Formats: sequence, C-alpha cells, structure tokens
Amino acid sequence: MPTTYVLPPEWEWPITIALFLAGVAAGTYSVMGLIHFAGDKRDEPVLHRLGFIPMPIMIIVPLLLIYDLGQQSRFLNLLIKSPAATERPGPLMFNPNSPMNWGSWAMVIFAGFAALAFADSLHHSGRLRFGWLEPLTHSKILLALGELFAMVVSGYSGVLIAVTNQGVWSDTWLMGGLFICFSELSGMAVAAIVCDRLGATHTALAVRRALFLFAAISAAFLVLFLAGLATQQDGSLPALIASLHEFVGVAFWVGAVGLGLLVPLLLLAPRPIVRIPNGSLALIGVLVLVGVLAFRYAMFYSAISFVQS
Amino acid sequence: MSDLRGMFVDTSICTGCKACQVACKEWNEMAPGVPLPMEDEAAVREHRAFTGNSYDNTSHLSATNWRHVKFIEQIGPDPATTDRSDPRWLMMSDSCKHCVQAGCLEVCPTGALYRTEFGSVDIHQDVCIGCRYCVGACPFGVIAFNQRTGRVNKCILCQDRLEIGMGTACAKACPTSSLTFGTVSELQAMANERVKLLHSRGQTDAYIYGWDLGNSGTITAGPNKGTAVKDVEVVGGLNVFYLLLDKPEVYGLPSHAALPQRNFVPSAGIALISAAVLGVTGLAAFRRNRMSENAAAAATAPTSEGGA
Amino acid sequence: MDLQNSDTIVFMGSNMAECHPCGFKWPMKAKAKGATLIHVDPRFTRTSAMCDQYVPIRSGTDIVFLGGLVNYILTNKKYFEEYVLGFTNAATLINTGFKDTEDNDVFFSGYNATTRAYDRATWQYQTGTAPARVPEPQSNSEAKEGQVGSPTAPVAAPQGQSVKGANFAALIANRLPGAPLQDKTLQDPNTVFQILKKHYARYTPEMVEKICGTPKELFVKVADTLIANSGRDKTSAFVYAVGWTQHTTGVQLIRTAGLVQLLLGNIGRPGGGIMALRGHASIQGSTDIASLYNLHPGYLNVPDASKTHDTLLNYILTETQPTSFWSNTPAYVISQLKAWFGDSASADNDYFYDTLPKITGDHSHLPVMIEMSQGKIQGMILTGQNPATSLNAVFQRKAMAKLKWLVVLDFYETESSVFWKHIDDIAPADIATEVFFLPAAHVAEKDGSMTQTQRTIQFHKKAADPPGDARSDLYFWWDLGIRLKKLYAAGRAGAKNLDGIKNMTLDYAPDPAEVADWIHKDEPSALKVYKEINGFDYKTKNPLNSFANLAADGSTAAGAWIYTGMLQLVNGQVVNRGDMLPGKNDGWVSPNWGWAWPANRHQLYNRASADAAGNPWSTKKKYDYWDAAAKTWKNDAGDGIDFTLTKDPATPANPNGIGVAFHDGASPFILKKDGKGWLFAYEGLSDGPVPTHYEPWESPVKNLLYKQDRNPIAKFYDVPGNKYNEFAGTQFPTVITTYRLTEHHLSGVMTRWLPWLAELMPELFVEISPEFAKEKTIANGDYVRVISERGVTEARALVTKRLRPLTVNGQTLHQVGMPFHWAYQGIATGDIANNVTSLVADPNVTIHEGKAFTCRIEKGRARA
Repeated sequence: MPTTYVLPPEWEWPITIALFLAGVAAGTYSVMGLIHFAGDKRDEPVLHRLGFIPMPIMIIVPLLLIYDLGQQSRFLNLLIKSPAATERPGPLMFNPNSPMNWGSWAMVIFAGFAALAFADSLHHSGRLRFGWLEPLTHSKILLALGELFAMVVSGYSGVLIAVTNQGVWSDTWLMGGLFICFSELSGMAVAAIVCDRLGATHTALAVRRALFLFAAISAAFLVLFLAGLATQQDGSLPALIASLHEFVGVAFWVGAVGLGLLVPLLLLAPRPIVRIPNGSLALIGVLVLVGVLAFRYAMFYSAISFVQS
Repeated sequence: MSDLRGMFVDTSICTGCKACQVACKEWNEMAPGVPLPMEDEAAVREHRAFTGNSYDNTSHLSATNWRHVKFIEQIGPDPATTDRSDPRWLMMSDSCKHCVQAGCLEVCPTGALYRTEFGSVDIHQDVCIGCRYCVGACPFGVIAFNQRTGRVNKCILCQDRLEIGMGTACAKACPTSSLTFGTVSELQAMANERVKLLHSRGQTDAYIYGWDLGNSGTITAGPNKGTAVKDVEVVGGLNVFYLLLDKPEVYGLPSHAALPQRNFVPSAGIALISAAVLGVTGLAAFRRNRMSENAAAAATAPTSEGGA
Repeated sequence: MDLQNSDTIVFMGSNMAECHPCGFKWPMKAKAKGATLIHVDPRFTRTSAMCDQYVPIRSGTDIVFLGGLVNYILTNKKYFEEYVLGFTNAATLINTGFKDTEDNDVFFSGYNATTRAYDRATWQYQTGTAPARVPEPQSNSEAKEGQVGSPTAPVAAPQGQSVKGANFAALIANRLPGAPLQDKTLQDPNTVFQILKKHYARYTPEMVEKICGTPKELFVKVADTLIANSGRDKTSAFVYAVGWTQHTTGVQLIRTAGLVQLLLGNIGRPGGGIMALRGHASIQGSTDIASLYNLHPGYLNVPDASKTHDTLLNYILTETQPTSFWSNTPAYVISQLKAWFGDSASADNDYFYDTLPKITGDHSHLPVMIEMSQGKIQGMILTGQNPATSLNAVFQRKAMAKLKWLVVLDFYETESSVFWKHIDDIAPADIATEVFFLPAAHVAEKDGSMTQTQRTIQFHKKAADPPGDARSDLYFWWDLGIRLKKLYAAGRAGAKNLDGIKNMTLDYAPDPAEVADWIHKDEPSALKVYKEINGFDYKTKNPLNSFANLAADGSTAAGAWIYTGMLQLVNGQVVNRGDMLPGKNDGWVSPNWGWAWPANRHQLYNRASADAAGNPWSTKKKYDYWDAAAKTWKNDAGDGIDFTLTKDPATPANPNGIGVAFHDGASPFILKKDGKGWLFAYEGLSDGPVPTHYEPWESPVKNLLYKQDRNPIAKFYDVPGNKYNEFAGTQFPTVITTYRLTEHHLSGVMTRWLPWLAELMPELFVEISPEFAKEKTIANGDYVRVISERGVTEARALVTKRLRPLTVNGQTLHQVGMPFHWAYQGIATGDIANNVTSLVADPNVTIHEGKAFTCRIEKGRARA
C-alpha cells in the first residue's frame, strides 16, 4: 500500500554537528553582545575570552556543511549565481523564499563579525595589536547588527526545517524559536565554562541567572511546541513520540530535556532544589552543551519523514 | 497560458502495465550523468527485490524511478476479512506533478530548479549542489537525491522532447491512454468529460486531484465505500493531474498539500520574538549583576554553603 | 480493433490487460462507449480490475461454464433464432446411428477402448444423393498438359498417376457429396439442435456452481448480460488466449465458446466473434508461414504417410474439399511447390512433391522430447525456443542431454544453451552433447514482416545493425540451405529424394542497394522472401494481386496463398500493402493500415453480418449488405467481403456446384463444407462432435458430470520422469495454474536480461489466498515449495485476496497461481515453474496442460 507522502532529505551527521556548532558560535557571540550592552568592566575577561570562540567555529561550520553536499565543489552556487541558472536576476544568489539562502548569507556576514570579535580579543590579549579596528569592534551599531546576524544563524536552520513538508518539522511554527533558545542556551553554557575556568565569579553570577532563565524560556517553548503538535489533525505529536525510540528517544528525553533543560532548571534556580558544589558551573555548562547537541540530534532524526497512515 | 504543458493521468483505465516506467527510464537513461543500472550490477541487485506488496517491486519514486506505478488491492471492504464483495485493484502511475506552486523550486538555494517555458519544473544538473532541501520540501515525495551523482533527480516532463515538439515518453508508451500529454487547458476539458462519462456509467467515485473542476461523487467500493469525494485543487494546481477513484490518501497523495513557504513568515516571526525575549532576559540578567556592585560575593554564598 | 464495437466482452482463458496490454486499448474503448466487460478467471488479475464483473472459476472447468451458457440459452429460448436457423447447422440431421454421451453416460458412438480413438462414421450428416459419378481412367497419357477444364467436361482423371494433364475441376466435381438433409422445424431428435439440447441439459447453473465453484448468481448474471447484449442490435465477443488452449480439452473448450456465439448470432458481425489472442508479436505469422510440423505455409497439410498422400495427385485429391473454399487447393499446392523448386519443377516431375518428407505421426514438441529422452534424436536446432525451462523442465533438460549436438540461435545465452550445467543428478562432464551457440539479431536489427493477432501483416525495415557476430535467423537458414545444396550438388545423380534440396530456389541474395548501409553485406533479402510468399506470375515475375490469380498449372508461384495480395501490382508499380505506413484516416477498420490476410478481409465470415436476404441485421450493427441494384455485396466500413462478391442472397444451393458454388446465397461460412457454422462438428475433431466436460488430467475432484473422469483421447506419456499426480488423490490437493505477467515474456529470454524489466518483477512468486496461507502458516514473502510428482519449484509467497478458495461439490478447494518466467540465466533469476508441470496434451493439437494441474504447497526453501 502506498503510504509515504514525502521522502526524507537524508541529511547526515555533519549537519547536526554543524548546526550545533553554529548555534554555539552564534550563542557565544550573543552573550558577548549581552555583556557589551549590559555588563561592566568586571565582565571583560570573560568577554575577551569568549571573543576567541565564534570565528574558529565559523570556519569549521561551513566546512561541515559543504562536506554534506552532494557536489562539494559547487558550494559557491549558494552565494554567487551559477551562469547556468539564467532564470535568476543579478550576479549574486539570493532566493528570498529559501531559508537556506538566508542562512548562507547570514553565516558569511556573521563570520565577518566573528572575525572582528576574534581580532578584538587578540588585541586585548596583547598577542597581536588590532587597535586600529577599535572603531569597528566597539561600535554599538555594528555589535547590534552582529547580534542580529548571530540570531539569524542560530535560528535559520529551525525555520529551514519548518519550511519543508516533512512531518513534525513543518507542523509547527516554533522550530525557529526553539533553535534560537537552544543556541542561546549553548552560548550561555560556553560562557559558564569560561567563567568557571577564569574564576570570574562576578560574571558567573549573571551567567548562572541567564542560564536558568534561558532554560526556563526554552522549556516553555518546548511545551508550547509539543502542545502545538498535539493540536495538529494529522497526528504529529503521536508521530513524534512514536519516533522517539531507541537512541533518538534517549537523546531527546535524557539529553535535550534532562541535561539541556532540567539540569540548569534544577541546579541553578534562585532557590535551587539540588545544591551543587562550588566550581561545578563548568560541569553544568558541559552538560547543557551535551543537552543542546542531543536536542539537535533528536530534532533531526526523530522527525525526518514520518509515515502518515 | 496555452503554452502550459502537462499530463492527465486517468487511473480508471490504468492497467498497471508499467510501460510508462520503462519508457521513462529508457528515454532518460536514468537522467543525464547517471549511469544505466546495468553498469552497476551490485547496486541494482540491492534494489531488485521482491517486496510482496502487490505487483509493486519498485516501491516509490526515487532518483532513478521518475515514474512509479502504485498498486492498491481492495478486494472487499476490509482487508482483514474474507469478504470479497465489490473487488477493486486500483493502479496509478505516479510522477512529478509539476505543481503550479512548486515547493522544491521555492526552496532551491542555487537556482538549479527552475520553471520551464512549458510551465514544468526542470533541474539544471550542472547547478545543483546536492543540498537536498528540495527533497524535504516536496509535498509528494517526488524529488530525490541521487547518491551516485550527488544531485537531485525527478521527472522533468521530458524537457528535451518537449523542446523539439514531442510529448512525454511515458504518455507515448501508455497503451490505454491512461497517461495523456497535452496542454493543461485541453487536458482539463478532457478530464472533466471523462469524470462526467464515468459518473453517467455509475462510477460515481471519479473525481479530479489537482484542479477543482467542480465534480463531486461518492466512493462505490473498498474500505471507504460511501465516503463523499470531490475535486481538489492542490498547491495552486497540478500540471500533471489525476482522476482518482478513492480518497487521495489511498493513493499515497496528501489531501492537503501545501507550499512549505506557508511556514516561513510565522516561523521567522516567532524566531524573532524568541530572540527578543531571550535578549531582553539576558540583558536583564547582566544588568542586574552590574547594578548590584557587591552582589558577587553574596550571590556565591549559597553554593559555598552547599559546598561546605 | 473490432472489440471496440462490442456491447459485452467476456475475457475467459485470457488475461488480456496483462498479456496483451497494447491490444487492450480496444476493450477499454468499448467500455468507454458503454460495453460491459466480464472477466472469468481463477485469479483476480489486472484484467479483472478493468472489468465490470469478475467471476471466479476453478481452472480447467471452462466447458462446464460455457456449456452452462449453452444450456441456459437453449432452455430459456434466448438464441438468435433467425441466425441459428439460417447460418448454422442446427437444423441439419445427423446419422441415425449417432449416440451422444447422454445415451450411455460415457462416450459418443464410435469409441474404441483399445485404440482410445473414435470412429467418426456415425457422426456424419444425413445427405441426399450425390451427383452421378463419371468413371475415371487409370492413365492420363491422352490428357493435355495443364488443362483445367470445366466440371462438365469429360473427366481425365489419372487416378494414382502424375498431375500432368489432370483436370482438377472435373476430378473435384466427381467427388461432390449429396446435400445435407435438414429439418427446419428443429423437432427431429437427430437434428443438431435437439442433440445439443439433450447433451447440455446437465449443464445447469447449479452444476456450474458445484463443479466450477462459481457462485450461481454470478454465472446467471454473465448469462443474462450476454443474452441482453446479443441479437439484432447488439453483439458480444469472447476473448481467449492460452488459458483456454493449454488443456487436455483445449480445442473442445474453445469450440464451446463457438457454440455460445453461434447460438447468440455473434459470429461474422461487428463487435462479435471469438478473439484468439496470440502469444507474441508474430506468432500468428509463424502459424501462417507454418513452423508447425504438420502444416505447410497457408494451412496446407504436410504429406502424411498414413493418408493417401503417395503421389501429388492423390495428395491433392485427398486434401481438396469439393464443397468449400478449399476446392481451390490444387492451385495453392502447385503454386507453393513452384515457389519452392522453381524452374525445374513441372507437372512432368510432379513439382518435386515426391522429395518432400512425409510425417509418420505426431512430431510436435512433446512427442519429440519423449523420443529425444529415449535417444532417438541426434541433434536439434533451437531458434526462439527454450525447452530447458519448458513443460516438465527437468525431463526436457535430461532429454537434451541425450543429443549429440545442439544449435541455439538466440540473443542471450539461454537456459537451453547451458542446460548441461543445470541437471541436478548429472555432472556436466558426463554430458556429451556438443552445443553451438549462435548470436541472433533482434527484430529491430533485421528486415522482415510480422503478422499480428488480427492477421494484419506489416513489413518493417531494420533500425540498427546487430551487434558483433549476431545474424538474422534468415541468414542462418538461407546459408544452411545453400551449403546443403552445395553438398548435394555432387551427390548421386538421379537420387530422387535429393532432387528437392538440389532444386530449392533460395534466390534471396540481396540487391546491393538493399544492404548498402548494412554492416553485413551478405544478409539475405527479406523482401525477396516476402515476394516469394506473396506469389508471382512465373513468366513476368510480377507479384499477384489475389489468390484468385493462382493456377494449378505451374504458371504461378506462391509460398502461401493466404498471403497473396500483400504485394500488389498497381498501375505497373509494386505496392507493398504491408509497408509500415502511418495510418490514414480510413475509419475503424483501417483497411489501409497494413494488410490483413486473406484478401485484406478483416472480419472473417462477414456475410453473417447481414440476414439471409442480405439486409443488415440492424442499423447499429450494419456491416455487409447486398446492393440489389448494383448486384453486389458492399461494406461501407471498407472491409473486404468474405463471400462471393456478386452472389445474390437468393441464390439457391447448387448440388453440382464446385466449392462455394455448392452453397446457397445465405451460407456465410465459406470454409465449411456446408457453408454453415458448426454447432456439431462431424469431422476435424478426435474427441467428440460436441464439447464435453472432462476434468483436467490432474484434478483433486472426480468428474461430477460423467463416469469418465478425464478426456479419454488425451495424449499422455507414460515414461520415466513424467509421473502424474494421483487423480483425485490426497497427496496433491491444491489446484495450480501457471501464467504470464506483463513485465516478462515467456521464459524471460527477452526480458529477464533487461534491468529495467528485471526490477519490475525480480523474483518468482506463487499467489496464495490469505485463507490458504493461514492454513499453511505461510506469511507474505515467505519461501514456499511447490511440489508435484515431477519436481519442486521454490517461490516467494504473494499472499493476496485476489486469490480465493472455492467451494467445489461442497468442499473447500484452494487454487494457487505461479508465473513461469524465471530460470537460472539472466539478471533476474529464479526457480523454474515448469519443474512441476507434466507432459500431457490435448488429443487434437498436442497442446500441453499447463493451465490446470495439481500440486502440494509446503512452507520453506527447496534448496539450501
């Protein structure tokens, strides 16, 4: 009996890793932005250490994404219009209907901001002097723009998978939001590790608070997401739950929900339910990062092409 | 728009001979650049297996099955019982529908997928990067990734034949004219006539999938006997459209197919809102930290206590 | 094409949608016009899916079903009275000594239990007095050569002598029988009508249900539909294929449908008839240009040592029917010999008739393989034949191992060409057969003609050169003939039996222009063969336009009289009516698309489309009609009139008339001796004048109609390796039928090597109903063993409700079906379905019984 409506895009592990890493880079960059806009001098060591992180990641991410393409050597077709694609106007490739184009361009631009941040951190570490870049690195407008592109990088992949006809993915409008939540969560987790390593207790305080709040917001989104799927007539939620078995199920329930959300919620609450030993913030950060990776994994593999009966 | 070309697939006279499938593969040589199956015997042998699913051994559309004949056995109202009243064996030759609003084309980030002068959707094989976004975007599971070429393939409505004034290879091969090639407007008229004829003969389950030509009826046999059916327009119309005798789902077609872009603006909007919420929350967290000059020591106190 | 005009089409013994998918467009057109389509079959197939009514039946019980229709039509007086009275032999009186099966519950009169054969003496017509005979001299020395005088001229009858000077017309006139006697009231118990009525009285709807397992109401619905769609305004057609022929009662089975159609008045009329679907593209052509052991091209019998065929004259006088269209046999035979032996063939040497080999019995496939298994045959040449996968395949492979040499011409290394690697209990090293494999050109790689199932001939040019060393079959046979001629040229002079080979014409050397772009310049000219088949004036070498131009004096040559006219001389130009020209817009008969033998007559016996007076039966079914003013028959659809064109319908029968002149103007069946459709066949059949139901040779149930279970005349072969399953025994309780699929062709030589087709149907399977599967705990896709006394076949189970258990005589009976395309060569390989079939055949034509036999199904694999 023919039952399959859609074919799975068969995206492989590099995509999961790449989008996780892109989320970490964008999230880290956003934390830098938060410190720039709301922090103070005491947060600067953390800020400058965080500045080293996005750019190297944004070198790895495109490599991973390109690796997963069927025709790796043609990746530039995403940005520069191939001469054979005559139907499109202009020399550059930008299809406003395709979140992938948005993402491609956002990553290229965001990589520039990441590079600026990297240079700034180098400058402050004293290893290389990039003082002449300060008008740019300290420009609030550019920072705000960088923030914006960071958000696009962290969220576009969620929108991308929603703009398909795959079961679960396309049955919700919250995927982009969820992806941003978990990106920010991972960025803040990185900040938590950095704080712990640097012994930046002042910054750590804000990071702990933010981590808790981000986890709370993410949890709220996840609940909304599940509730939304439950209202779908085609049975997306049962399909999702049915697909959450074996390793994917472990990744979702133990990884994403347990490590990614419950760990910060339980351990970092203003009145923590479980008290944690000193200096364990890095561990929490690592656990949250694992949780975010598990979330990406579960979302990718649980919902790819479910069968409607 | 008399230049629009398409096909009308009348499933009521499809005998399931699969000549269309073979004609497609023969003409297209499995699409440009894809080797013929005989050149990779091991890969082919893997695919070549008895499925036990009626007479269907190719299972679904794929990068090398641009056309696929589906077999739906409805011998009696319930497959689980021995009741064999009103037996039917539905067959349908499936392919790319060349949607008026094509999901694959909409999401393509390289311009590899494009709309031809005939209104069909073709692929520039030398532009495609193999990102597979279109695969997930197609509401019908038509376009598929070709592992061997690293690009996607699907029915291209025999673009090369159309360019020299010929029809599609599959329609040419169809012995009962279940597949008819022509201009969409002519085909619509033909389809409408055909539905009316079947209704007049008592086959009231006939209706059109792809365009709403105003027909409606009732299913006469099978598990859905008695269910009302009516013409359904899908994604702005299908240039390759169908006359069906049962609910679309029975043929593995969605009742409500839609463009993936329906989710774009709402998803992006909610993403922006979530970004804003997170941003404000994050800002608040750091802001509060800055406000409480001496808070650091105090704030670490609980954990210190905990650790003690 | 004519099926599009039918009001009802019954597919029975045919899976037309699957096995003749291209022709199936015509029934679909009829359906679109409102026709009712009915499929009577053991399995619900892709044909059933297209039909309005699906009627299940047990394999091998079709005579009960069709006999039931005959009975239903007769008892309810639903026959087309005017047609039956006028055009059939219903009113003809049969010999008073005739005894029906009803009279003694077993056999017709004339049965000899020792020889298992019928003497047909008591089956004959009662006739009036024959015209007075003229004494025939024993010598022809005074006769003039080549004279064909008028029938009233003094007979120069060289009985037992040469044809030189024979006056065939006079000789034939001297053999005219008396006219058959009739009782137009149909009341005489010896009328065919009364015999039929009595014979079929047992075939009630209840009996149909009991024997066929067909629910009574479904049977009655079919009968009523047929009756409602026959008569003056409507016509119904039957469509069959090998589902009817491959039975020990195959010929009688098809005849039963003939009875139904004659009674309903559906023969010779648009939308009527019985459509025999031939197996592949040109199998009709290979019957016409005969590849059968007992026929020469044009349905002329091969000389037979057991008949009065000792001389050409005796052969002709034996074979010529004085009172049918076959009265022209002398011209056909002599023209054929002239075509074969050319210049030196003349009346002086009886056109080398004496050099033709005579048959001494049944030399068809099955008996030949039996003889081969006994080491009586030295060598075999196979072209387009694959016996290694054929009936009782293990037996046939073992038989081939007894050959000294084997030549195989085919596209691929067929199963037969490597049979020696695949005999379970004989090591390849122990087989001494020398095998020669010659690659053959495909149809598109050579010129030639095809004759399809509607007798339409088309000539085609080759599309491409064959690859490598592949050559056309024609080249092989031509080259073989030339080599033989060379070998025998030096042979003993005057060795009479060698004169034939020495004088074979074989003038097929190509004109240089023909082969200019060909890779092989020495391929023979198919067009020259075609021209020889068509026939030509021996002097002018111009093609003959009609078989009416053929003469019995050696002035014309024609390879097959029925094909005369496919090449024509029009205004001095040779026109090939079989050229693949695009169809002109010439109506549904399309007389200009290809050329249908005979004489481009598409609908045979079409005189029957008009009533006795020559008026169409109805406006709707108008076809032939008599134009009284023009004194000629006309057909507005463009078809050729299958009747004497200017013969007034009111013409009375002429007891002194030769051939069709013997018939009156209202006798459409011109190939029959009385011009009537035969409801009762007093000759031509070895197993009875009226079809009678016998169970298949292997059946799980006994015959519920008669004491005789199986066809008493059936040909069976009690030889080692061909053991039959116990009749009505318990070891083999399941009925099995074998069949074809759309995706493959016969033994798969043309399809299982093609990846595009191989993937569509990759493995051998056996179709099983869910009920039977449950009983055997078989799940869909499981491997099962299909077992008979001959062997085992392994297949995947395809569990489907399309198969159903039947209630036969109150008992549940399971039927399974297995396609026979697979074997060990090619890219889609599998076990051989024919491992389980047997060698047993119809008595009339020696066609095997592959459509109904018994087996046992077991779960699990056959081989490790």
